Amino acid sequence: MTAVIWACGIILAVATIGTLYRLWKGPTLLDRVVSSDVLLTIIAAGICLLVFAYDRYIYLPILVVLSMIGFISSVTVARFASNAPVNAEIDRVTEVDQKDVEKNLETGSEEG
Amino acid sequence: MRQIRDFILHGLPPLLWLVLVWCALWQDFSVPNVAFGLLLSILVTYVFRMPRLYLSDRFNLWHSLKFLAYFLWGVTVASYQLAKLSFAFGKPINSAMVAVELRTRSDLFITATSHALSLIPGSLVVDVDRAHSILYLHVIDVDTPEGVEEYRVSAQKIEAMILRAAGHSDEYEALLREDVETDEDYARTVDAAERGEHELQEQDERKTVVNEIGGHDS
Amino acid sequence: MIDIIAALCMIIGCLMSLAAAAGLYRFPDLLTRLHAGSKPQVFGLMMLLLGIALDAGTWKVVPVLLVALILQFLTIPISTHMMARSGYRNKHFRRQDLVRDDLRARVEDELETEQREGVPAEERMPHQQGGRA
Repeated sequence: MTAVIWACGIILAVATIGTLYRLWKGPTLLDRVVSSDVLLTIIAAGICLLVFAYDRYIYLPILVVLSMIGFISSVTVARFASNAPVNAEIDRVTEVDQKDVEKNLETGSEEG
Repeated sequence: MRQIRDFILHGLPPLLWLVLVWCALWQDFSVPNVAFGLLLSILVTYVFRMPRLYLSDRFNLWHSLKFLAYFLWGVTVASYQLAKLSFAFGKPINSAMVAVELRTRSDLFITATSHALSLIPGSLVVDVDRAHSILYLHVIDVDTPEGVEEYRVSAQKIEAMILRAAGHSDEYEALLREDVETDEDYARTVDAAERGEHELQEQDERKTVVNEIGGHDS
Repeated sequence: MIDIIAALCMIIGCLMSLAAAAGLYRFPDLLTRLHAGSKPQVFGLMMLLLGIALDAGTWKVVPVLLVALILQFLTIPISTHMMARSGYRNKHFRRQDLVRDDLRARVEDELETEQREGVPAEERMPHQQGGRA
């Protein structure tokens, strides 16, 4: 039985690493929200493993609470996610820089 | 009398659910605990009054068990297929966005169908058109338009199963009438096919003759 | 014997979490990753809870597990639906992968009326549209 518990623990650890990769890389905001949701479920799986390994049935209400409340964060972020396509911020920044540069050039030429 | 029936159908289920959750959390179904749970749930539903939850007025046990069995089987098989797809690194994935028109017009069953379709892997509900009862599903791993059509038909079958299990009486009767009609239609087409095959053959022969002579399509 | 089945259920449950993570890593865009991030979890959780129930041997723990399972069934579709809807409207997905797209016309319609009238879609359309309870 200890072999089984170790194997499950290692599988969950590898799954966590995969999810963290998406959390780091995910090009959009919602990808990161999905991976945090998956992380929450992996934590729930870890608690199940704990209950299985040590026969502590007092941890089971935690699962109930996680199921009930864990989805609220993803729903909130999804509700208020921005409406701009992915590269809009980068374009806006370069646009602003360009305008500043032009303004400086103009004022510089007026003074000079 | 009507008030009592109303209460039993619509007021009692939330109360019973709260008592069940209380006893389950304490892992203790003894009489004092159940009594205290009942007291607490009455207090909670009285103080935090929510709008009444209108469940439907019929519930068929046999069809519900059939639906439950189909649902669990669907979850198992499709999870396995999705896991296989996740581990096949490098294979390109085609998906589709399908519009499914539902027969039901009630909030509760549109929600129930969306939940069932979202949980059985393969589809995800992206949008709901409430006024026309249309669900827009995102289906993963379909390559051909036939696969997409097949998926749409299976989604409507799931909705029919849910309506049979717990739908409102008038929608259930409409569903039964629809089944009878499609059976009659099917019988009629089979008869027509047997009688009309001969005519169709003659039509085909005439068409090939026309094409050979050099006539063009109208 | 029951020990072996319980251990098998636990391993299958954890493998499903691994499948979810692998899917998150490999699927090309948001909508498919949503599939990967929610579906195997449901089955994995079912297997894990079954393993716990088989290992416990008593009937006392079964109601809590059932309550947790039912609540999970109720909440996972809600969060995936909200994220899919938001992702579709904000164009966070690859259009070329879709074999057939029925929602595009409706979303573009809505965006057009929103731009014309200046009021976002959710505030304009009443949510109690026809239909019954």
